[in-house]
Amino acid sequence: MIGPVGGGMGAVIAAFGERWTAVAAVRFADLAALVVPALTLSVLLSIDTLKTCVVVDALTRSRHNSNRELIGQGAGNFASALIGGMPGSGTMGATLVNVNSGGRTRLSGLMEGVFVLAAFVPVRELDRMGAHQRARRDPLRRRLSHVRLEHLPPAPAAVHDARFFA
Amino acid sequence: MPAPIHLPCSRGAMMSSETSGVDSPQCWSRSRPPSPMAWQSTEVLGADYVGFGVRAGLLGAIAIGLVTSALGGAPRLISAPCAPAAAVLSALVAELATGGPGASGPVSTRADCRAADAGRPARRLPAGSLRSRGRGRLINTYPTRRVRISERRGRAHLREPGAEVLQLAQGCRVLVGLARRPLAMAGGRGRHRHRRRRPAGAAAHARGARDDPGLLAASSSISAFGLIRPDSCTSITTSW
Repeated sequence: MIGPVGGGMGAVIAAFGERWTAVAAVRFADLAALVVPALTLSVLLSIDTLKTCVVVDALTRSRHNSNRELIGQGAGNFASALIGGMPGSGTMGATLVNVNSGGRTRLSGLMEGVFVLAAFVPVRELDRMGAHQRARRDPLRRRLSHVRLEHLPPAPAAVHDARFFA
Repeated sequence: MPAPIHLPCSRGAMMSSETSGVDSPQCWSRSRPPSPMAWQSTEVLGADYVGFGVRAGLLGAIAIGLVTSALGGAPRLISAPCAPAAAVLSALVAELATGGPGASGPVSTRADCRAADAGRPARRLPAGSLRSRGRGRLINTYPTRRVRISERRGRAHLREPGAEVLQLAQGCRVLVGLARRPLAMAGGRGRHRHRRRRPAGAAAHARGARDDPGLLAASSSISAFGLIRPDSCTSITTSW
């Protein structure tokens, strides 16, 4: 139902390379268009993180280091952007599960990333299995199963004046 | 004259769009997906891009989980991609896809059709279905996705999520509607309000507008083909 995800360590490395290629192609006009969403994200995610920290502090009767946490969030989001990931913040649900499960140190958060990475590696195999199942379900695909890619006619170099009916 | 649309198209892209095999993307928007699988941001681009959103969510969870936990100042805090970030990015992506301020050349086809439709007696929307039977070599060969339309309040409405996009953005493999013959055009005023025009010889479905082979639509990854009438209202320049 989702479509190909493309997991595996190769996908992580490839995403890193693609990101650098994309960064090199950024123009000034693109930066101007991204300023407002970037500021919105930074403010929104910072507030979200600090709110979660306050809740955790109230629950555990401890005190967090806000400055260091925001620096860590910034570094994490920067790393996420480098490999083509989504921005994020401290999430309330996962944190409460962590607190209730007895998590006290930063090791639990670190293990979260490790486990997601471990889950991401076999996604490629799941992808293949899903594609196989979809191909079995799709009647058109079944009919085309004997057609190889090189047998298809080449795409037109340019099609002009493709018109719509209205 | 609308701005030209540049749609990257390769054989691999053609096949990959088909292998995505999304059945009903509207089901996702009704349900609430887990926040790391932040496909909302790419859902606006079309069904073919949902997998990219999921991958972005997973990569973000990896990077943020590892780096933030190592450098952060709240030991018990778990960080991951979250719904507010997905919402902001969705708005940005939708803006870029519809040719907003940040877009560098995408075109809203529906808006173009509306503008070109202004002088016509009936309101018409491009809609159609790409059929794989008997409609030329390319259509027979390339994988296709069907598009359905319905009629409501005297206007044609695109039913399928992939078709309702009808907005072409750079790098987006969304639908390009290519109409061959008028299918069902309701509208107008007075006693002709709900009159329909059907193409001669077209197999009209019980509900009229549905499943009629008169209109053709192709996904942009499939590319255009030469079954287009010259008197169509909107001109779109595509290149591959």
